[in-house]
Amino acid sequence: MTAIQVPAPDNSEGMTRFRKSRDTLINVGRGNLLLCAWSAVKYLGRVIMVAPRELENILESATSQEVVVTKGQLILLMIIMLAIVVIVTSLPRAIVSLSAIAEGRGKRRGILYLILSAGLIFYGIMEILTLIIQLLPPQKEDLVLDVTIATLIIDVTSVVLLVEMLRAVFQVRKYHRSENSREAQKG
Amino acid sequence: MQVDFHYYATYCAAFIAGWSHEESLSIADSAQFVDCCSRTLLDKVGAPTAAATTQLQLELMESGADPLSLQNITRIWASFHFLPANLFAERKKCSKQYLNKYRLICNVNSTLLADTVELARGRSLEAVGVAMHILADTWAHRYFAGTPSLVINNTGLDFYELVPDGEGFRERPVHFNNNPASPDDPEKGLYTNSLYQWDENSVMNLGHGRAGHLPDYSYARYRYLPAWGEYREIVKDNPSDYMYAFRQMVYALKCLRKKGIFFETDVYDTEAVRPYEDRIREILEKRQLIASQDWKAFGESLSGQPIPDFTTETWTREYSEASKENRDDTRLGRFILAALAQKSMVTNRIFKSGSLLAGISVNIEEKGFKGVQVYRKLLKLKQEEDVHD
Repeated sequence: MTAIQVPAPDNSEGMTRFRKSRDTLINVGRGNLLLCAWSAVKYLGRVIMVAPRELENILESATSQEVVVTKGQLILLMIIMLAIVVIVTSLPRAIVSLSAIAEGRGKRRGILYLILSAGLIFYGIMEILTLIIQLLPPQKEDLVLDVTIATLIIDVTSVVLLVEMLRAVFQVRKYHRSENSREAQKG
Repeated sequence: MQVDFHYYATYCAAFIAGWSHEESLSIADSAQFVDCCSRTLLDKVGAPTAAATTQLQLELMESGADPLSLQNITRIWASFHFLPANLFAERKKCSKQYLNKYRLICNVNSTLLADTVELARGRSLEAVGVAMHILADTWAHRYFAGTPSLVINNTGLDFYELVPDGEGFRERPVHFNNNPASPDDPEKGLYTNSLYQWDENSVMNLGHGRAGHLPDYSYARYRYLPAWGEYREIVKDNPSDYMYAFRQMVYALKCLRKKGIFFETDVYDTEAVRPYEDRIREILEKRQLIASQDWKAFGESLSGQPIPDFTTETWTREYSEASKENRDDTRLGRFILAALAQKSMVTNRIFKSGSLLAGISVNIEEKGFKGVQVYRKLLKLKQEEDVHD
């Protein structure tokens, strides 16, 4: 009985880079999912802390002819609206995150989520610039400083994650293309 | 490795190396006992618990993640099951903490292995058995470290078994589950591994837990990404590695039988094993979780004598029934001395490399330190050996 030769591992530079990029996609995807949760928490925080006060202000300033709904109904309406906002703002990020994770696990994905990522990056940069401007005087006096700085840090993290994700996607797809052309040449 | 290799295969290797049937049995018994000598067992018979060479699952679960507990775990597992290959390995762009753990990665043919084998020279058959266990485990457990560490011992999601298919191999993804009660199923590629724990020092990240029992199955061939590997894959060929382990054991056992022939690493007694190679290969390649019956049949065909099943009862009974003065002359007593010597040597080497992962090591001879009383037996033994020389 002779010994069977096992195939040698492929540890070429291209292959290790491909594996690293695939891992990055999965990790970044998971990180982005956490940021979705952060967006939801942020809006929920507003619902719980800010909405009742705003509602009181609306009801106090409204005249008797303007008040056609009860306070409970107004609260419900506000919750529904905020839920829609959360879904609409989180959905693109969730799509991007899940697609990145799926691509990292070897499933092929189209171009849509890359376009969404580019959009989210642009949106993120705009948010960062807005926050930076807000931090400059004289606007600074009106701010809750620590909340603004925390939001800035998270927005920067979000943009960095998305850029890293795009870089990893291009590496993975570049590797697949080179493999396909190598297979085509062999055939 | 499991009882099939540590006990039966070690018996076969010892017999081929020229030891008698009784000597081979003693060596094999001791080699297997390394996997049984836990603190619980030693405590039960009133033996020094510092000589423990393994830890039961319950002991590991009770063990905390505090530095002292981690040092205790590392002392045991690095000394007897995951012998470090290079305590002065270099790695760029990493912290000292990471480097210390990286240096504990087990691999074959290290200088520490040579010292382990030579430590058994001129000592009891139990000491020889301990050395053979450690030698065999360097082949099975290579690429893992005997310290709890996620960043060293974790494995990637890409884990494929290479199943023989005609002249070549078919790749099949390995599906791990975390239920220790469900048996591994080699036919379906279903195996159990330890639960993923993101805590760096969790006992789930000790040794090859994340790869399940695959390193201990002689038939297994698989490829995976180790956490320390920087995305470089490893292909583990157990049938080949186990064959090398067997040949090296035969060589080591021959060296220990003869005076003046010192064990060298990367030397294998291929000639002595050649007549039995086909039979051994058949045993190693057979897809079964435990190959004890096959190895036992082979061993009995070699010596023509029956090989009793392994049991710890005879060890503990003999020790318990002996008087206190005579305990060192029992099998367990001699095993304890060998285990203490081995643990002391490896702990000392790890400490000298600048790592505290195995704790502090003190040279009793030089420092005159009283320390753990039981280790003073080693000093007494060394003094007796020096007088004899």
